[in-house]
Amino acid sequence: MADLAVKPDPTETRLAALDMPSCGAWGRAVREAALARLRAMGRATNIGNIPAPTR
Amino acid sequence: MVPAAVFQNDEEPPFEGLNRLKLVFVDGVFDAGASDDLAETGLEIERLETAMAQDIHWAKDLYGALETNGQTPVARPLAALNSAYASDGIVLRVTAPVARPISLIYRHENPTSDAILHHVIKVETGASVTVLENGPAAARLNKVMEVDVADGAAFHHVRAQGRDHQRRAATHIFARLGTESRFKSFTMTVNGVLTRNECVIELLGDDAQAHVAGAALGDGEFHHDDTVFITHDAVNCESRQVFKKVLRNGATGVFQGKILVKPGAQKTDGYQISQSLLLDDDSNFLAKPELEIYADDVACSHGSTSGAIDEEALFYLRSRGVPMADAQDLLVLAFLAEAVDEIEDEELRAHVSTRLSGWLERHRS
Repeated sequence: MADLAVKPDPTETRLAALDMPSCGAWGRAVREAALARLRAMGRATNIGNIPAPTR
Repeated sequence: MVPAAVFQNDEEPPFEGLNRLKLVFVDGVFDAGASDDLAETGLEIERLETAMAQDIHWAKDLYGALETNGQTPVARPLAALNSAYASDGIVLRVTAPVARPISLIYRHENPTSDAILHHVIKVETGASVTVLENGPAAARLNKVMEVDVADGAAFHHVRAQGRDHQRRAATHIFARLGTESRFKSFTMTVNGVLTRNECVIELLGDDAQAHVAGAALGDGEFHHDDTVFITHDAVNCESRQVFKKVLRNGATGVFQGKILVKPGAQKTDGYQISQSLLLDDDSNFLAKPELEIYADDVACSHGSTSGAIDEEALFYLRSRGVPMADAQDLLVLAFLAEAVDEIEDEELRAHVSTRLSGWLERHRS
């Protein structure tokens, strides 16, 4: 029987593991915008294959 | 996690002895104690986190902006990742000609460290600055530098990558050039398992000039990629791309260079050369030079070659009493000279040449 369970997206999992530095209003906005660009590029970028950082 | 040991030898770090303003990063984190005082005439220097904590800051309009422009027509996901997650970096505003170079020194203490660095540099009208970069930043480095060169301004950049043989690095330079501005960047790469240096430049003002050059020496497990995208969007601009790679023992070199001349960018002068010297049959050089031209009064050229050391030149030198190893090194240095000559400053050029000859001497087979 096929596994119909929704699996976590590896890209999202890896991105969630990264720690976005805290910053003020405009800093937060430009970082969020960059993250949105990254997501828009598509999961095809396969960022999920990059291991989580050590720090 | 793959550790990356720092390559050990008795050679002193690059640019040692130069009068320069030192900014030190250890494992991707700024080390104020090891750095010089940031007060310098003609310069405003801040850490990225300090700038981002403020409500109003000149870097607001620049951070991530040039990177965003550089995402079309080719997506650069690692640069977007960098803008989102950069942990440290400097924001540098140059308001007048700066007498001594700004030296970004990267040190590496943790063998499995990751670093995401983002620098923002704004060179105001009529100002000029030289930025030096050297040192093993981290086991895995993702670095972005955004450079805005205003009208009549000049930005010089000399970078030495090496000493960390197991390095994996992805670097991006995004630059925007105003009228009669000058941008010159040179990168020397030795060692490194995987290095990709991308340079995306937009010439937006008339009579602007952009020169990008690189010299790479690879031995064994070495993959080195230079990717350059230069867009001409103004009249009478000049761009030069000069890349030379010397490869052996299965090393791989890649060059992807593009000149895009937009409609109306008349009188463009674009030059692009990528050459490799393959010292054995196992090494590879992969080149993809591209020209895309939508203006009808331009001079654009590109060339790409791969070859071995000229046996006749080698014989000539040996017949004059030069030992085989010295003769080979001489010919390799002569091959790299066109790229090294792109460095304007004579003292910096001498530093780079010394590093290249030192590497060749240590890697004689």
